Amino acid sequence: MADKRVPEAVFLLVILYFVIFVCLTWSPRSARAADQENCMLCHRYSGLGCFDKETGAKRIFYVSEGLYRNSVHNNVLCSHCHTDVTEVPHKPAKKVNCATQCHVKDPSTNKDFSHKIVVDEFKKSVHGKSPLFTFEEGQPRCKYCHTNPLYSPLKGILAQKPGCESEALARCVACHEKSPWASRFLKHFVSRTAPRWNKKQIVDLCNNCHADKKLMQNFGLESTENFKQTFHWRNVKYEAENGADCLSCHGPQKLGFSAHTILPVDDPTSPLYAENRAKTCGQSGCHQGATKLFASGAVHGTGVKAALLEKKLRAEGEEISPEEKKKLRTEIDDAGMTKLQQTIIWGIKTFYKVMIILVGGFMFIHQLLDLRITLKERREGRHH
Amino acid sequence: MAKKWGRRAEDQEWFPRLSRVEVWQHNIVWICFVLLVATGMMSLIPTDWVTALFGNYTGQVYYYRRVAHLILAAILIAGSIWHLAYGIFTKPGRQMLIDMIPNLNDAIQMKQNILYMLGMSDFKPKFDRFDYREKMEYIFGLIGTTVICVTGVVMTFAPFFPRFMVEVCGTIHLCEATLASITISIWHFYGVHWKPGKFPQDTSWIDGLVSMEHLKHEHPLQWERVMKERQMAKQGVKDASSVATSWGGQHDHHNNTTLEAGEE
Repeated sequence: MADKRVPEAVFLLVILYFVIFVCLTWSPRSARAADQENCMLCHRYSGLGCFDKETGAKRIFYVSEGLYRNSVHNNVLCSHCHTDVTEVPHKPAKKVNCATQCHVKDPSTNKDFSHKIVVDEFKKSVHGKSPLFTFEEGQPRCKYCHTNPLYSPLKGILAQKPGCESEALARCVACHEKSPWASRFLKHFVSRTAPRWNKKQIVDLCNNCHADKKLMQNFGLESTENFKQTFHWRNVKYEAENGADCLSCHGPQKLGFSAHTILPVDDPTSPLYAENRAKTCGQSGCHQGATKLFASGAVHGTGVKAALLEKKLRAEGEEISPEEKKKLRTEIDDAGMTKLQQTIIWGIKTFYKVMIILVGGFMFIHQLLDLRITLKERREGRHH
Repeated sequence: MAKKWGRRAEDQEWFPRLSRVEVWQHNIVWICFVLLVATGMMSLIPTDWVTALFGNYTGQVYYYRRVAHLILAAILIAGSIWHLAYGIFTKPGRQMLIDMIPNLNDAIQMKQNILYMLGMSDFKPKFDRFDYREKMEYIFGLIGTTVICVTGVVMTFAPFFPRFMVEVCGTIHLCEATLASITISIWHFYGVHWKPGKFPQDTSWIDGLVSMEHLKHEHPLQWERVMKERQMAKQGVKDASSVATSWGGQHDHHNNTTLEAGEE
C-alpha cells in the first residue's frame, strides 16, 4: 500500500501545479492584446508590491487587467506615461506627469494627445500653484480627485462594474455596430454625459481637507466644517436638482470655470471676488437678479464674522497684512469671537460641567442613601 | 395610614404647610418650568428629526416653540416677581423667607444626617420647618431663576446688547437649564415623588396640607412647637400670636382649615 501512495501524491501535486499555473497565467485574450509591451508578465501578480523605504507606506504595483482594459486609459500603452521605463526588469519608476504627451492621436487635431491644457490651467489655480503651499501635503494632485481612471472602472471605485451604465450603452449600440472600437468610443461619450462625482461626493471630497480646521490654519483659511449646517447643503443632501455644491460657486461651469480653475477669493478674476459675487450668485438656475448686498451674505456658516471684520477694517482705511489676515481668519471662530472670548465661553461651560457633576453627583448619592435608610426604617416600622 | 392617590386619609389630622398663595406660586413655577424645559430643549434636537416628524409644518413648529417659550418665560418672571413681593410685603411671606435663611445649624444637621444615613451614627437630627435639603433647593432655585431670567431677557432683546454678551448669556442659559433640569429630577422629584411613603406624590402641592405623621417625622421641631402652642391655648394664654408666628406664617391663612381638619 505504501508503495502505491507515492505516485498518487506525485500525480496530485502535478495536477495542483497545473491548476495553479493555469489560474495564474490565464487572462482574457483581449486584455493580453492590449498589453503589447508585456508589462503584465510581472504586474499581473496581485502580491507585487513593496514598502516605501522613506515613508514606510505600502505600495502596490499590481495592475488588474480587466479593470485597466475598461478604464479611460485602456488604449494607452504603459510606456506612454511611464516614460522612464525602458528596460525589463526596470528600476523604480518616477511619478507620472499627467502633462506628458502620449502617442494616442487626438481625433480632433490628429496630434499626440495630452492633458497638458488641463494641467496648465490647474497650475494657475489656487490648488496648483500658490505661495501658500509651502508643504506638499496640502497640495492636491490630479489623482487626489481623479481616483478612478487608472486601474478602476469608469463608474467609480465602489461599483466594481467596468465601464459606464450598460443600459446607456445599449441605447447606442442599438444602432451603432457593436465593435470594440465603437464600444470604446461610445463609452467615452456616455461616461462624460454625467458628472464624475455627484454633488454630495463633491462636498465630501472638498471637506476632506477644507473641513479640517488645523490643516486650514496652515494656509490662513477658514474651515468649512459648518457647511453642512447651511441651506445649500440641505439642497445637496436632498438631491435638489440645482442644489449648490462647492463647485457651484468656486468653479461655476456656467460662468466658464471648472474644478481645475478654482482661484483664491482675493484674485480679481475669481468668481468669488467681492465684485464678482453678485454675478456668481445670480447664475442661471440659482439666485437670478442677486444684488451685491445679497451676495455679501453668509454661505459657509463659518468664518463669516472674520470676513465681515476684515471688510470693516478695509472700509476704515486700514491696510491688512497677510499675517493679520491669517490671524483674522483662523483665530476668529464662526461666532466672530477672539481667542480670549472663546476661552471665556469655554470657562463658563467647564464651570457648569463641573457643577453638574459635583452637585448632581452629590444629590444622587445623597438621595440614594436616603432611599436606603428610608427603606430600612420602614422595615423596622419607624416610618410613617 | 397609607395615603391614597390625591385623597387625604381621614384617620389623622392634617396641618398646613403651604398657604393658598404659595400653592399657586408653586403651580406657576412647576407648570412653566416643565413647559420651558420642553420648548427650550427642543432647539437642541437635530432639525432633521423635527422635520421628519412635522414635515411641511416644521417652520410653524419652530415659530410657535419660540412664541410659547417667550410667553411661558413672561409668566414665570411675573410669578417670580409675585413671589418676591409676597416675601417682602406680607407677613407669612416674610416668615417663610426668614425660615429659609440657612445657618450654621443647617450645616451641622446636614453632617449629622449624612452620618446617620451612612449608618455611622444613630443620632437622627431633628429638623425645623425647613430642613437643609429644602433650604438648599430653594436657594438654588432662587439663584437659578434669576440667572436664567436675566440671560433669557438678554437673548430675547439680543439686538440691544453686544454680540459677545449675548453669546455668554446663551451659553449660561443653556448650561443653567441643564443643571436645573438635572437637579430637579434628582433632588426634588425624589423628595416629593419617589421616596418610599411619598409615591406617587406628596399631595401638599394640591391643598398645602401635610399629615400629622409627616410633620412629626420630617419636621419634629415644628411639630413640638405646634403642640406647645395648643397646650398654651388650652391653658388660656390669650396672646397666642407670638407663638403662632414662630412656626410659620401659614397660621393666619389656614387657621380655619387646621381646625376643620382637626375636627374631622
